[in-house]
Amino acid sequence: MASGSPRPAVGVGLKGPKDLLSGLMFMAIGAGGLWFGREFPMGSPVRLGTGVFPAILSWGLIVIGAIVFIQGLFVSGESMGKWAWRPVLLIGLAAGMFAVLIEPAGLIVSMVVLMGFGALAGDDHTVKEFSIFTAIMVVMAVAMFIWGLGMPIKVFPWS
Amino acid sequence: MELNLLFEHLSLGFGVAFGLQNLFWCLMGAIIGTAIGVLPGVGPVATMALLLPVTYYLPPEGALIMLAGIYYGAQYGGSTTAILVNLPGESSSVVTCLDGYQMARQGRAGTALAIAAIGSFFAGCVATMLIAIAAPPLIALAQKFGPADYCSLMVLGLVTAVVMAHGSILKAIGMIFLGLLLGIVGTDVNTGNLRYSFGIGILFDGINFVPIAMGVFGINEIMANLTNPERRDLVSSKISSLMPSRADLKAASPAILRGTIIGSLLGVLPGGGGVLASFASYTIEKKLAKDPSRFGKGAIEGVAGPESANNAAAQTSFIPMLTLGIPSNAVMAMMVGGMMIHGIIPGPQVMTDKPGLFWGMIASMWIGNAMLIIFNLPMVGMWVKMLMVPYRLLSIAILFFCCIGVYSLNNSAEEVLLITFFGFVGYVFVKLDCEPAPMLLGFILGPMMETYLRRAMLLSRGDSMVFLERPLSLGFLIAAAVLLVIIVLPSIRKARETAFVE
Repeated sequence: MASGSPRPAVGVGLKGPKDLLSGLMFMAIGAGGLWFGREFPMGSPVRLGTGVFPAILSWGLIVIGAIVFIQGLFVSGESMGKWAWRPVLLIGLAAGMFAVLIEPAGLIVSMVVLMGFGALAGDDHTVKEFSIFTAIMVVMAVAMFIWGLGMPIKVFPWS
Repeated sequence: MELNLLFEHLSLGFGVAFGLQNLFWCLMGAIIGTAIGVLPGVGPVATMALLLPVTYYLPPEGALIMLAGIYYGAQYGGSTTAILVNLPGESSSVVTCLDGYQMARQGRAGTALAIAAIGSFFAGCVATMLIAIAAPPLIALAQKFGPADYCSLMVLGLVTAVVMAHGSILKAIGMIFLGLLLGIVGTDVNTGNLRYSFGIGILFDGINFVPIAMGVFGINEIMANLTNPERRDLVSSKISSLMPSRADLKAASPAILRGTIIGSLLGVLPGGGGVLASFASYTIEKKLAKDPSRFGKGAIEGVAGPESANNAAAQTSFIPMLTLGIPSNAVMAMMVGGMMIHGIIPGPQVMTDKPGLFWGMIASMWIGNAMLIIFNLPMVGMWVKMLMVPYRLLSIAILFFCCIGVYSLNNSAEEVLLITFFGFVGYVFVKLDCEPAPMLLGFILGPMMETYLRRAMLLSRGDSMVFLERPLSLGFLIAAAVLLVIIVLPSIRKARETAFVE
């Protein structure tokens, strides 16, 4: 993916795609660390500046990334496997929607939205089971977090 | 004299731990631990991350007692699932499946469960005593450490964590560096300069521990589990007698003893913990057995040894965290997180500054183990029923608890977005075979390491040779180097790989 090379015929793919990608990832983070840290003062050996430790770590990441990348070129490893986009995106969306809704819309709305997207991520939900489960969870959550722990979250959008 | 002191410490500890409130939190921890131990796909790291925000509302003693209970409780619960369902409830129970499930199929489920619980209990008691005995001298030693020694010790700790990590060593090192780098995001405590905060408000104070832990472990676990669903087949046979026969006990007790010793030793090592200990114990039992072919067909030693070992290791892995303030695995990183939420900085000073907390937590482990054996054996049926809750429902409940938990920490919706981000990142890591646990260790140690590095350089007037001139520091660095060399040598590498192959 990141190497961008067109897939040749069957069997002659990249040798260690996981290593290649991890190597690139480490190198990219290291390079980013250096770039965004380019203005950190280095100080003196007696009084190490803000930039010393990040620089050591960034260079470390670049070196390790390079070795892992080279390893990926020569040692064959497992293929990447399928990326399960659906559950991953839906779970992420569920949590993200909760973050966006919790303050304006209150606990119940954000909870139902979260659980709805969460349920879409799994396959075998039935509407009946989901509704009952969500209702139980909502009651439990209000009892526990609002009445029990007294969290400052509003329950309904209008309260 | 020494014995008197030990007695004094323990009575102080039991005084705290037997307080009504703390007993309650200990019980809660043990129950939650057993529950998540029984459930495959829900681990102690994720659960502790989930409960960290809640512990904010508890007194510090109660918080740490409960968090500890979750960890060793999970070791008990994990074996139940392994024996009855042939699925490891926890990764440390993987080997228990081999012989435990076979015993269950032969109608000896009760015996297997009982032996696992008895072994765990014995190991837990021994390990608790061991912590109580080993902690004071280690702390006395730790108080002599200078900043350079600490820095080198952390290097050693991180290197050991790498050795113990699954999979590629290089990637584990990379993940540690990444964790260290993430750890220093935000305002630099020494100079007040901002680092890598990109103008994002919540990053000014550094990345909070809870969202990163919850994202990488909690959210990510849900994503990973939903992508590879598993089947659960319960052993249908009734659990008959829970009392093991005299012959069973006789066969199991040497294995329990050996498992306890192995587990206690391996638990202390940084990066150690239940998984490694149970594998080591199983291998040794099989080697020592007169008839190794029985293993895998329901050998009682194959349950007794590993189960004792994983519980012993779970407990002795507290030693480096309690005495040196250095977490040796992801669970201990959570414990450090729990302490920091209450403003306690882990390290040798905890025992002297907060003796009630320190000894109370140790004493609570013994109490927790006693509670666990009680409600693991007679109540095993109830736990098994929990397996009926389908993961599709469990997953959304966990997702909700993650989100509300992070939100409640600072009433900050942005931090909930942060767990979403780290959930995605964690999924990519898993896809690339990069273990997130070393990253978490690095994240915790990052700021500490930088501070000690700076202090060491200041004290040595800028001479970096200080790390090689102080004998302790030199010793730690040599040990780290030797470990790294050993791990790269092919023969040992091979053995390590086979140990991690399930």
